[in-house]
Amino acid sequence: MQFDYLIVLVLSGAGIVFALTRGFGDRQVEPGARGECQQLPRQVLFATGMVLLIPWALVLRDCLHNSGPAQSLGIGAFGLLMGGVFIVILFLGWAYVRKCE
Amino acid sequence: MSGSGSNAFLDLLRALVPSRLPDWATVLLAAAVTAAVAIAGVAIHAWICRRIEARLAGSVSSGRMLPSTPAQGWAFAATLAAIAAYPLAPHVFFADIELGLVLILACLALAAIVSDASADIGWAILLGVALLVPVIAGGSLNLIEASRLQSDWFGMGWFLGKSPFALPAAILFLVAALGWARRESMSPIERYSGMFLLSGLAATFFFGGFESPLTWSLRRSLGEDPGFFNHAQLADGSTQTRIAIGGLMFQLACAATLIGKTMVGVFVLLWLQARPDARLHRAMEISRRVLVPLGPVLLIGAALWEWARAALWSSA
Repeated sequence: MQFDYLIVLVLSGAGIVFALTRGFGDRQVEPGARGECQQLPRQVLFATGMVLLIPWALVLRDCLHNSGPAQSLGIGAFGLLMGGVFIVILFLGWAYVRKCE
Repeated sequence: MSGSGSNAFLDLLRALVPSRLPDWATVLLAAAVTAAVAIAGVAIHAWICRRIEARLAGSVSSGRMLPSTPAQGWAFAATLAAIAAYPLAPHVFFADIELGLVLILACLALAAIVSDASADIGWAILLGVALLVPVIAGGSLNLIEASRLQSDWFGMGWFLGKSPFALPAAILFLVAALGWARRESMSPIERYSGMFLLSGLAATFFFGGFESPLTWSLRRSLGEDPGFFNHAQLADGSTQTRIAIGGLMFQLACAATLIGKTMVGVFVLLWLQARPDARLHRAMEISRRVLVPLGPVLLIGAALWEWARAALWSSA
């Protein structure tokens, strides 16, 4: 397990070394780049909401089949209902923001 | 839930290097070799993509392959870290990450933000939504485990056929991947690496990963999980490691299957990008308008489908 994350670390390190060696020559900020950042927080907000759906999708099968880590917890269709409510709220917000843009 | 847990690079070095070398040194050496193989793979793949793109465009590209600004350099670093989660075969992988799908998506979204502060990461959200449909069907974020879960039906038990919502999700994924790859702030090598990763995710979570009728038949004759090596305990208590030919064939077949499927995906993305810009832009806008609202419907539909399957399973 530690070896696997060591690989990620080594590859990230190689990439960072590469980025640093490419980076010293040019430190200019693109004109107008600062002014175009306002839409990013909204997108990050929805991306964060989407990330919360990942553990739900991961364990939903076990909850519904009453197997794996969810065995004997009795979550069942309640997990499906809660996830559905979350998805509807999340995407209604997204649709509203898209419409306003 | 996890993959094989046995890394061929590490096993091979443990068999080759002198036993006097401490284990931590072997592990560090294996990590360096693995990273070097990954970086070499990225370079070869970028060269192949450049050739294909030049052939599709009918001209030889003379632009720079490598990042030319610090932002592009950092974005490439994030993409390179994501490569670690891409497996080649059950025992041939750079890193067996339990949350491999999350690592790849997070690194690609990070690369998009780093390379362009005003980047539209809505594509990353759509990629995630599309991939959650097969995750609901399989219950794993590990790429090796997800491939294994599709080994039924003669190696053709793809998630694409296990839920009626998987095909629209795959189309949504393609549109989102195309949107991701069309960003202008990327260096070519980052774009090609990202295309490879996205095609690898599609191959793994929709099209069976490294499973195929060939690997299915090899599995039938060699056993459920044929590895690269046979470990034999000798009379003096030491362990002798030998390469298992059957296991080697199986791992090569798995690697060829997954790389083949991934390269088909890369070719489709490159081919679509070579289409006339205005027509492609229009087709993408229509797809986006139709498919994006479908995202939550697909997720809820996939969850309901799984619920119906569970209900039928318990009543049978």
